[in-house]
Amino acid sequence: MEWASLTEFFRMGGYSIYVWGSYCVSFFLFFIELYFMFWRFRELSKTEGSDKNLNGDVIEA
Amino acid sequence: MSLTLIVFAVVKRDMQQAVKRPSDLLTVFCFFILSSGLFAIGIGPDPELQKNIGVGVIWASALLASILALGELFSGDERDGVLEQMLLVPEPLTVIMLAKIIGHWVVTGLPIVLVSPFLGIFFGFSTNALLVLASSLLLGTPILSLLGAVGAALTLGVRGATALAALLILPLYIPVLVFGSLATNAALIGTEVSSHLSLLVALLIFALVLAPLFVSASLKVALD
Amino acid sequence: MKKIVTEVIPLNFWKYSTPKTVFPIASKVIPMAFLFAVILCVAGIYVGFFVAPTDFQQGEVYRIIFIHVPSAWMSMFIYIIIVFWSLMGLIFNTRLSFMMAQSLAPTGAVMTVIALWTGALWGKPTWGTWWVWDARLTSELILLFLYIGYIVLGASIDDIRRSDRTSAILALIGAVNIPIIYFSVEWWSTLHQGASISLTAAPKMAASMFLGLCLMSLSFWMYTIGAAFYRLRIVILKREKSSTWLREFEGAP
Repeated sequence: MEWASLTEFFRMGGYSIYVWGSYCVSFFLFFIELYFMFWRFRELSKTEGSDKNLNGDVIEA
Repeated sequence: MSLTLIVFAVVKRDMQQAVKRPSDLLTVFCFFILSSGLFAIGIGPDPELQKNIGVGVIWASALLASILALGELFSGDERDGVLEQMLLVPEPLTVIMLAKIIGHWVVTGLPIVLVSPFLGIFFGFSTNALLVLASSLLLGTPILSLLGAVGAALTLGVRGATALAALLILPLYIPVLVFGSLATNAALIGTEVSSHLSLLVALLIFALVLAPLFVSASLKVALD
Repeated sequence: MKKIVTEVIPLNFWKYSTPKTVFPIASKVIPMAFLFAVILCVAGIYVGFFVAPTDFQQGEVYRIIFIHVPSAWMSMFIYIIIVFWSLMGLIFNTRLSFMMAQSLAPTGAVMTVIALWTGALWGKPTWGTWWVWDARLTSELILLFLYIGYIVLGASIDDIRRSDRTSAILALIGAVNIPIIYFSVEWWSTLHQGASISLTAAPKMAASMFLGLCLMSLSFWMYTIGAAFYRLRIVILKREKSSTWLREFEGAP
């Protein structure tokens, strides 16, 4: 193991802003992309007279 | 009709139209001078700074002016149905489009090349640098017209066409900007110029071959 | 009998090139791809943070590499795949090819943004600056604008047939520019500030670092597959909302 303690791990040798800034923003961007995709799919797969989308999930009114 | 005759006919027609409506032409020309002038005024009177930044300013202004000139390249011909006729005639569309681009360059690009040495003087360039500036623009502005025509063809009839064409084409202008300003900067500091200019020639040949093909393909799709 | 066999094979090939057959396949691929993406990502981060040692020159900040390099690779790779599908669509006149190309573009743009962002965060502590107008960074920025232009152009043309073909032509034009901006590294070298990490510099470190890089790259690849197929389903839904096969598919369990 590289890290003596959890604090040491989060400190990243003084580069915490750069390292965690990279990882957090990247995963946040992936999350945003996925969120918009899922949202768009739910909207589109809503059809008249049906309360289920194409995945078979029930869509709340 | 032989291909050379077609080229001459189309270029002549476009030039006649430009003479009939000089305001379009004049707008682009004045925009180029004004935009360079605005930078010079904004930077302030330090001659050394102006000399350093002049190349980039003149080149960037040429880029923006050439984007501004794209608006009427195909839309006028599309409105009066000439463009559809061009698609229908047996002569190859690529040649007709090449001729249109040449005509467009003569009325918008060439004036920029001719006035650029005077702008160079305002920025305090040496005689050698003025020559290199003009010759790099002479090689570079046709590339701008060729690439710009592709952007105009892609966005023909689309809402917000000019802004969209700018978004699509300005990133592609970057190589031209780089080698053009590298050549002139090399002349300013007295190093070898020819390698940058020959790269511009290579880009020009590349664009001359490919751009008319892309323009024809886009127009065929647009008027399908 | 022989005659039937020779006829069946080409039919099967083209069977998979229609939205109707691809939709259920995509629905099966998506959860698998995302599952693999998560597993590989967890493994990659474990290797990257707990197995790979500290860099003797850069310290801990080099660990950005595990996200920077895979995203930069994917940003270019996705563009090449878009060019491939655009070409396929223009040559073989298949709707699905254009749909595939369009489904990939937003993920490509996200990858490019991530590569630029992590590059800036890596550049600040190692080069002392967030941004340099050097060939690599500029070419990546051009790539972002190519992605944005591709998406915007496709979205601003209402006629689907024209929108597909026009944006495909734009993708091809962008491909012409890619080698130019790529090889400009040498011509632009005067502005280049210090080289980034070289994998061959420290052979002992390379093994675990390289493993982490591979795992993260595979993870990003899986994510791209999942996201692209998910967006493909959205594109199909949008375009074929009125067609009957979607209704039938909906009715099935």
